[in-house]
Amino acid sequence: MSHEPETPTTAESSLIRIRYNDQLTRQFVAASILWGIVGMLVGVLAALQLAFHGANVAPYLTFGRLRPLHTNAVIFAFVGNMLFAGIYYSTQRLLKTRVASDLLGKVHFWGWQAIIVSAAVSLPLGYTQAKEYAELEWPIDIAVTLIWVVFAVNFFWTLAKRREKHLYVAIWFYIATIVTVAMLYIVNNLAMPWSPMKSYSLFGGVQDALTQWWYGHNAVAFFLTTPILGIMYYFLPKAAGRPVYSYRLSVIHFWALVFMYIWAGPHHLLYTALPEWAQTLGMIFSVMLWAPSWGGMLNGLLTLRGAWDKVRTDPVLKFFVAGVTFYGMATFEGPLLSIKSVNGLAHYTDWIVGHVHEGALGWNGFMAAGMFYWLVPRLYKTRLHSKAAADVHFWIGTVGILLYVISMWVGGITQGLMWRAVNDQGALVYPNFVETLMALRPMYWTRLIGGTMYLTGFCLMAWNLWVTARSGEATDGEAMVLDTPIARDEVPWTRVAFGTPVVLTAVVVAIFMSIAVMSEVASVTFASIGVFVAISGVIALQLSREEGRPTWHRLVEGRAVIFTVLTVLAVFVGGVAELIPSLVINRAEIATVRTRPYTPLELEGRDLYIREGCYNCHSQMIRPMRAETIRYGEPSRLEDSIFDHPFQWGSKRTGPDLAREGGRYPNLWHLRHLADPRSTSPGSNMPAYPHLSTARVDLSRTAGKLEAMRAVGVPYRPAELSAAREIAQAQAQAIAADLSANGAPVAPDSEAVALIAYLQRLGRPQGNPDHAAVVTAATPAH
Amino acid sequence: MYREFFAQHPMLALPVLSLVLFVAVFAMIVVRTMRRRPAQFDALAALPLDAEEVTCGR
Repeated sequence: MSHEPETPTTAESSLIRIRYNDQLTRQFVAASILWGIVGMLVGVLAALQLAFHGANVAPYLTFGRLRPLHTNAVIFAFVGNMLFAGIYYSTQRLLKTRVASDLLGKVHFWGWQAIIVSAAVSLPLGYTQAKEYAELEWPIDIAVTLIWVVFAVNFFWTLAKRREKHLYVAIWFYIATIVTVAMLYIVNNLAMPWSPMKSYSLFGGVQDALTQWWYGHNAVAFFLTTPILGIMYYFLPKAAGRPVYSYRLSVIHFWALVFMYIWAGPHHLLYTALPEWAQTLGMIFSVMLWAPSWGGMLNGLLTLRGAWDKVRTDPVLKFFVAGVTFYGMATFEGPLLSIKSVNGLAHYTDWIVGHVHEGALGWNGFMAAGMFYWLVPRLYKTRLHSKAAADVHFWIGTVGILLYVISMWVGGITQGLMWRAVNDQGALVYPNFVETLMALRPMYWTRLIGGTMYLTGFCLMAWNLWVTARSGEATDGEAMVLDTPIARDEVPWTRVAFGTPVVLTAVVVAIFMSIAVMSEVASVTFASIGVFVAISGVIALQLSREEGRPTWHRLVEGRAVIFTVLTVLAVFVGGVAELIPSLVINRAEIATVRTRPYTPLELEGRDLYIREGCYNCHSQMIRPMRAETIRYGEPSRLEDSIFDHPFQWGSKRTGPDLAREGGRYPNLWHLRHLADPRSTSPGSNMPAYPHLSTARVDLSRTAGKLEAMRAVGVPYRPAELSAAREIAQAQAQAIAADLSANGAPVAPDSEAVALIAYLQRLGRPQGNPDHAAVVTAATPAH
Repeated sequence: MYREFFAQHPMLALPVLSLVLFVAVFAMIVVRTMRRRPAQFDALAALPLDAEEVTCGR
């Protein structure tokens, strides 16, 4: 499939000249820079909107719609294209072969860009699944999956035709990325479509929360970390001109991340209604991650031993050193934030935003810059246009990050302390939520300055690389390599796949798993047997080693398929073990009160809440802390959100928690608040939504929505499905009549009425008592 | 009630056992890797550095 033949030279038949496909790398680099500017520009606009609410200039460009666009653009467009560029470039060279299929490479590149464009259009239009970093709706999810498969096929095909038997550790990280992202993305995006662009999550409530943060956390791990680590292990030695400090440490780094990262997701849900055991599991594994992360960071930095003088003059190394250092800082702060007592203060605050940007701007952004400054001159056979401009980029980028991160640290800690401050009488010192928000205003402006500086530096890089590329000529790398296809028969695959360590592990697993179905006495016996078998097996393995004979792990390093299967197994077992206990339960069993599904109008209102991205600023999860229960009401229970597809627990409180918003204010307050938040909450930075009072809800779709909800397990009765429209109209008229009686006439079928119906239902799992009679009267007898 | 439900659920053994297994396997990998001499990895560590390249225009 390669369009450039690999031809033997006439001089030496065992040597062939191969030409790498570097056009793919050039394309992905260009796309990464372009989308990086777009994504960061949207980020700067979103930062401005938080500091100055007037920047919410149009219904399609409010903060709730732009924030998902920013995160998706930076993660999947900027970093995504960057990692593809690095993977294609390094994989071909490490495997000593051209990419298997140029055509698949083209499909991958253009398909990925089409996905990004469709995301950039659909998110401002309000098509969202309302799950962080998984907002894209189902048709785009399918496209993402297909293009990812194209990428995977091309990658593994290239692996199959490699001329280097052993897989360098960077390739391990790429393999883990490809298989894990595929698994995470598919599971978390399982959904029931009810229109060509809308769907409801297959999972609901706590199950959805656990699945989402299993995905959300591991998207950071396996999309923003492992591939960039692979890139670090390839490009840093290249730039430094010396091998990685400790290859042994890199092996441990890899397996530690694969074994531990997949378990740490629940640290996003500490103090929530998530079961205690899952929270503890997430916290323990997060803290354990400290060690491998810092091992990796030190391995990267120590690679420069004896070459630190180069860092002063080489912008590539400057960015790499700072990037790896930010990796160390972010991975120190992450486990710290996972400790429950710290998390109690930091969660829902801007501290988390600062932490995330430490990784995104410092680790991802600087590693990307270092790689681009190294790559582009080589891809165009020229010299970097301006080292001075690259130095300026580095310094304004660094200062920008520090301004951003420090302002968010200060803001977050201030916010957390103000929320929990109580006086001697046990009352809140700052009972008005807006008061805590206004205290952060200077920090929001500082963040905006920092972000703008970072973007300016990035634009400077784009200009510098553009001029560099224009001064040279697009050039593909070539190499002379030994034409010795890897010997496939030197060790039978069965010896590797069913080697003693695999069999031993399987036996020990079987023994331990059997404990689950045994009595207490028998399980103690079996546990002892399991420990005995494990220890004696390891000893036997050590004794049976023969000098000169390759070990099992060494064999695995040369067998791509088996290596991949074992990696899949590791992340799959971790994922399954974490998710299954919560997914298999019968939701009705865990409810302490009879929970009623949303009425048709409340469901319509909920869809509007999702469309506007309210979850970006409002949580629906009251933690069991005194300051929270005084402010918001009793702690959230599982049944509060058991029929929420998707869950809306949120992760940030720019506005107050809404879990028990129902009945707190009259309908009129909500109408005025939606139209002009400052009229009811002076100082609020929430966008105004006056158009909701004039826009209409299409109730002809409501029955279809209920049908889809029923398909994912929400117990709607047939009578409710058949009369969905009438029930919705009756409830809407009751709300409109109340508003009219209070001097605010509004059409019953307006979006504002539906949204108010939803907000008044929150925290009332048995239904809104004010409308119970109306809804019952409109529902046909069963 | 849900807390009691989860506390007694037999499926809880799954993550706990998996946790033990993961830590054990990982510990084995660490021990096995660190027992090997650094020199045994020299050739692998040098992989990004070899493959002297010439370049040509497209």
